[in-house]
This record gives sequence, C-alpha cells and structure tokens, in this order.
Amino acid sequence: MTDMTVASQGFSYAAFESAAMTRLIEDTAHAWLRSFGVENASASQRLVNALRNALAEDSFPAHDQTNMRDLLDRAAHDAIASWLSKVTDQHDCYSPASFSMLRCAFLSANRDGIWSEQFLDMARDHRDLAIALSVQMMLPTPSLKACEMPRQSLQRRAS
Amino acid sequence: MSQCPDDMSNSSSPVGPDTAFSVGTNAVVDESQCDPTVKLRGPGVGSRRVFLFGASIAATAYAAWLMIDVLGADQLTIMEMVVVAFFTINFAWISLSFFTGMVGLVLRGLKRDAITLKPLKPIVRKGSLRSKNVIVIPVYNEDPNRVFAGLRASYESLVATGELDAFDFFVLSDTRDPDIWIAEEMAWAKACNDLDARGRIFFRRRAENTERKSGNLKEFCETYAANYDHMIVFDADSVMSGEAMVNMAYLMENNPDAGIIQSPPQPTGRQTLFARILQFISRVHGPTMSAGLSFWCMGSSNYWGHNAIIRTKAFIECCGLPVLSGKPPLGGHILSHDFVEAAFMRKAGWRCWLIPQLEGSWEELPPNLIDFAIRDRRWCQGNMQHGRLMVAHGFKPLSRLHFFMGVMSFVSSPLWLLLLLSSTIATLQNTQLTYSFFPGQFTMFPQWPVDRSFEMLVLLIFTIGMLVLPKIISILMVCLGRDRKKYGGVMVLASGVLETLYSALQAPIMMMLHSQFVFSVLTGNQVGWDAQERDDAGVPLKAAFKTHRTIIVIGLIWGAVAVFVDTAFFWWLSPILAGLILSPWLTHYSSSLAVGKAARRWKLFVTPEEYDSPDELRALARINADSGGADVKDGLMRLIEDPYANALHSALLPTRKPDARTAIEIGIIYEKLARLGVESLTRDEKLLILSWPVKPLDQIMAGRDAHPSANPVVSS
Repeated sequence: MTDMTVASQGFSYAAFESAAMTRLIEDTAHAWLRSFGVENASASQRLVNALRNALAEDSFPAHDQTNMRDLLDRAAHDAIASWLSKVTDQHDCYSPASFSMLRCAFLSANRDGIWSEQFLDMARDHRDLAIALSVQMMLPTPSLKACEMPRQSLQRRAS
Repeated sequence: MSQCPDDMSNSSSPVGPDTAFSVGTNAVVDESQCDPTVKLRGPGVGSRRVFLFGASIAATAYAAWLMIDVLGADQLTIMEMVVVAFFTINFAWISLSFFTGMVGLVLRGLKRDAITLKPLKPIVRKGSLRSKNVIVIPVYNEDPNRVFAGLRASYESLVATGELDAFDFFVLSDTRDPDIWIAEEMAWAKACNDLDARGRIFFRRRAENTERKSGNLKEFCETYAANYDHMIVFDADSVMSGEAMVNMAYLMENNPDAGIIQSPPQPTGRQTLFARILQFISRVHGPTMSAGLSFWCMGSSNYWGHNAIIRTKAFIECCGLPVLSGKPPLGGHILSHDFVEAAFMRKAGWRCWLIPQLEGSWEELPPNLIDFAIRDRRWCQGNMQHGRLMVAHGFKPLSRLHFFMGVMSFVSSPLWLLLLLSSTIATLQNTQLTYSFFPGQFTMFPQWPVDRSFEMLVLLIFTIGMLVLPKIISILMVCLGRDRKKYGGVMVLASGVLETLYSALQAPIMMMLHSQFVFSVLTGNQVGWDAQERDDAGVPLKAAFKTHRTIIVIGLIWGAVAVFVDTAFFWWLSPILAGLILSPWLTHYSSSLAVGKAARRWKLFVTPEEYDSPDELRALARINADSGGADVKDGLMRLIEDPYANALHSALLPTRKPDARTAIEIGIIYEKLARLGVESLTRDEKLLILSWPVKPLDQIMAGRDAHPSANPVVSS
C-alpha cells in the first residue's frame, strides 16, 4: 500500500491502491516521461499525481488491467496535453498529430534536459519554454488547398 | 521578332492559357509586364519542320533507292523486298536523328539560341521572382540518404541565389518498405533542423500508392499544389542549381502560355566504366541533340518526367491521366506519364519548351548494363502503351510524333533484328541460286552479272555516316574548343573512339534485349516498378553469363549460319556477332568500378562535372559522405526505442482510427512482436503497425506482461 494521499479529493485514495496498481501507475508515468525524454523526480511525481487524480475520479473496474492501462494512458495523455496547451497557449494540443508534433518539439528543445524540471508544472511561467517549442515545431505539410484533378478523356467529345 | 505561327487554338480551349495569368498565387499580371528578353518565341517554326522532315524523307528515299539498286541489280526477290522495307523504316529513324543532330551542331557552332536563333546569352533577371514555386520529389523505396542529399544540395544552392522565399520543397513518399519509410521521416526532420528549413521542406507519405508516380503527383495536386504557381519535378536522383531553378521560374513568369519548361539533365555522379562512358557522350553529344530537338519542336517539345518546371494550374486542369481500356501491359493505368502529360498540355493550348542552354540540371544513370536494361524494360512497357495514344483523339501532330518516337526507341530494335535476319535469309537464298545469263526464252545477248560493290560501299558509308557523323563532329567540336581541358584534353579523341567502339559492341546487345522486351510486352507480360539501382554496383561475370546466355547462343548459331552461307557475309555481320558473343565480358568489365576509376586516371571519358565539380555536386558529395550511408535498417525497432523517432512518426501519420478488425490485427501483431521479436514480423505486418502510432518498448513489454506465460523476447 502506498501512503500517498490525494488531499484535494478530500479522501485518501492511497488506502485503496494495491501494490500492483502502484506499479502500474509508476510504469505508465515512467513510459510517458521517457517518451518526452524527461528524467526528473519532480516531473515524475507530478505525473503520478495526475494519474492518481484521474483514477480517483474514474469509476473504472480496477481489476481489469488492460483497460486500466488504457485509462492511465489516456489520463497521462490528457494531463500532458493540458500542460502543453497552457505552455503554448494553443487549444489544439490534444489531437494525435498536434500532440506528437509538440512531443517532437519538446524532445528537440529538451535534448540537454533543461526543461525537464518544468514538465507538467502548471504553476510556472512557461514563456521561455513556449518560445523554445515554437522554434522547434515541425510543419510536415502546408495548408491544405484541395481541388479536383479531372481525368482527361481520349474519346471524341460528343457534339 | 516574328510571332510563332504554331497554332495554339486558345479560344477553343476551355483551360488553355489566357493573356492574363496568375503569379504569386493571388495576383493577376498582364502579359505586357513580362520581360521581353526572355520571351520564348522564334521565327519560322513551319519552315524548320519542313526542312527537317523534308531532308529526312529525301535522305531516306535516296538510301532506299540505293538499297534497291544494290539488291535489285539482278531483280529483287521477295526476301530482298522485305529487306528493303525494313531498311527504309530503320533508315528513316536514323535520318531524323541525323538531321536533328546536324541542326544542333550548326546551332552550337554558331552559338545560337535554338528557339530565338539569336546569339546565345545568359538569362538576366530583372527583379526578384513574383511566383511561389515548389520542388516536388516523388520517391518510391529510394535510398533516403541520397534523396535528401540531393534535396539539401539544391536547397543550399537556392539559398545562395537569395530567392529562397519563392520556393518550398516537398518530398512525396510512396515508399512501401517500412525501414525506408522511417529513414525518410528521420532524414526529413534532420534536413529541416540542419537547414533551419521548418515550413520550407515538407514531407508526406501516401497510404496507398495507386497509379504509382503519376498517382503520387495527382494526389499532391489535389491537396497542396494549389498553394503554388509552379512546381519543379525532381527524380529521386535529381540535383539542380539554384540559378537553374530560379531561371526556370523566371521563364515561367515571363511566358504565361508556357505549361512546361524542360531542362536537359546531364547524367553525372557514377564511376563505373559503363556509366562514365554514357556520362561522357551525354555531356559531349547531348547538348547537340537537345539543341536540334528544341529547334524543330519549339513550343511542342516533350516532357521527360523530371528536372522540369510545370505550371501547376494548367497541370491540375488538363493533365489528369485517363485509364486505358483493357488490361496491362497495354491497357490500364498509364505508366510513362511524362509524354502523355506534355501531350495533354499541348492539347489544351499550353506550350512545352525544351531549353538546351539551361545548365545546372543533373541526374544519375544506372551503373551497369543490366540495370540499364532493367530500366529500359520498364520504359519499354510504358512507351508501348503510347502506341495506343498515337491515334487517340485530339492530340497535336507533334505530340503524336513524340509518342511515335517513344515507341520507335524500342520497336526500332526488333525492326533492325528483322532487317538483319531477312538479310541473312536473302543471302542464303542467293547462294542457292545459279546465275542465269539468259533469263528470257528468246534472248540473243546474255545478261551479265552487275557489280554493285561500289554502290554497296556508298550505302554502307552513307548509313554509318548518318549514324555516327553528328556524334563525331560533336567530339571534334569539343576537342577543338576552349573547354577541351574539361573533357580530358586531347584524350577526348581517344574517349570518342573508345565510346564509338563500345557503343558499336553494345548496340547488338541492346537490340536483342529491346526485341525481347517488345515481344514480352506484346505478349502480355508486365513488370513491376521498382526503384532504380543508384550505387556503383558491378555485375559478376557469372551473373552476366546467366543474363546473356540466350544472346550468346543466338550469336554463335547466327555466326555459324553466316559462315556456311558466305564468308564475306560473315565478316559483314561480324561487328554484330562480336557484340552478341562478347556480351558477358562487355557487361562485366564495363560495370567495374576499378576500370571506371582507372579510365578517370587516364583522363578518359572525363566530363566537366568531374574536372571541376560545380558547387551543387560538391555539396552532394559532402552531404553523402557526412551521412556515411546512414542506416536504413530496423525502422520499427528505432521507433520502439527512440522517443523522437516515435513522436515524429506519430506526428506524420494521418489522423484516423483503426476499424475494429484492424485494431484486432494490430493487437495480434504487437503480441507477436512482444513474444518473438521484430525479426518475426513480415513486411506487411510491419507496415500495418507503422500505419498507426507505434507503442514504445515498455508498453509493448507491459502488454506481454499481461500474459505471464509469454516468452519475453524483443530483440534489439
């Protein structure tokens, strides 16, 4: 059993968390932090807290490990997307393409680990990080300008 | 300057060029704003064609008359008539090429522009570009290191012109190899980072590669092309100088009725003997042929599929390719799209120009004869389809001629073979006949045999002269010119002699291979469309023997028959027979990198690009060396282990969700991956999971943990 308490919920979620669940949460947090190239204890704790928050809010059957993993993954995704949204002041951080592109940008900007400390920190001012991310943002395609390219005919046109 | 009389039929065309045209994607510019110094117009288009075709027909008629005179001295047999027919068709083909070359030589000698006929002068641009252009690079399973090296070399050159803002780059991937797919994404990101070119270099991969290259471009046209006024189409091995690209865009801006402007790409970059010989002769003689072609084609020139600039709006409106009725190889989707696109452009009233003096445009050749033949097999299939388009409704006569020339570039081989075979049969027949001094019943005077050896010699010299004279003069012009040093100095003569010898030996091999290809296509066989070999790959002697075994057997049997028929005839055929019998050695030794490099040391087959490499090619070599042939293996493993590669791949995937069936399939593949490792997955399985965001290693292993009985193997 973990002694972590989610104070904001007004009750101790930890009282119900099994060792397996603790491991699952930590593994999920570790996987997501690794996917952002972050190795930082504070950031890790913030993500673990976010996951516990999500679990506490959700009425998902805790024994279904596969679904639980999906739930945790979704929770981690949403927590990070929410933070990125705050950092970049953009709303479109949740869609898979935008989220992945921001992940690319963060990985590039954080190559030497200078932004790891700020990861998932909602309280900080992130203007410098926002600039760093905007510099690193990739744009795979320009704006879509759809039109039709009609097939030509080899037949004699009807008069 | 007189107006080009070429009928454009603008008023009748629904999508043809107008006097006002769009530049900068929004603005509409009047034609009067165009720079008159770069106007693509020239005098006497009709006269040029009358001269060229008239001379070709006259020369063919003369050669045919000589042939009839030689063979028909003692009355023509049926087989001799067949010989005359095949000879005439082949000679017409040679003749057109000869006069094109001769015109090109005159233009080069007088330093005249092939279009305006004015003295050649460089393009002097007045002001910056107003248009927005895109360089598109359609790729299919190509080496990403080479593709992006070419892109980066061209990009760097463009930066130096100061016109970078007028250009974007777009890699259009149709790649089906999972490892190459991932390597392309990484190479794209690296190019964007290294060149600080985010928002200038774009990348997209098609999920389905329907209609191959033309479908790839069509999909681009229907999605992003409308952002641009013009697109410069690259091949996977293309490199262009910034100056060339800017000049092409400038020409487009100032010639609002131009639909396509083709630059003549110079082959470069290969070092095998085979490739160096071709590079040399293309560099020496190619400009001659380009000038000649441009002279008589004028605004009805052809499009060669790459290193050309295209007016996007015109292309979208009138170059959507039809699907031919019937099954492949002659029906179905059009394979060789370039000629057809040019024909549709012309049909809609747009002009297509070949500008011979546009330098700074390069491509690469196959490194050896086998790969060259493999490429020809694909082209043969595409060009044979054009036979059906020759008679299709609505195309301009010159477009039909281009189709015909494309078909003839392969069909001329079986025609030549038939000519040689019918000559053998005719000679055999003649040796069986006893000469009759009194062929009539009541003749008082005998009919003496007529000696036609002089006429035969004249005909032989005439034919060989038509074949090689323009090339020999091109070589002499280089030898006597100021740039001789760039071609190896006086060794250019030795290079020319050796090239002529080599091409004489290679010609019968290509005749047999092309004949086989034509027969194969006509009997319904089709080939795939794989990436071209772009390394200096050699051909082992054993492989060469295996490839050419049929040709050797044919050569030996043919030689034996010729000796049996007539020894003189055997010697007459000997250059052909030598090519056939020596084909494996020719293929093997010409594919040798060591021999190619040795020839370079002896200053043989030197090109200006080798003598003093342009900045772009130096940059290409540097970037290639820097990439060190970066690994394109284990793409999936890279995504699993490298968070950046993983994120990038996910970001480049189209936003969609798998249906229930696909989701189950993906789950099964991940299960297999976790239990048995990456090596256990097939190419299709890798492609399927790569088509959706890929899980990192720990997630995959976590999935495996959910099934404790599983054997934990994810090999790295």
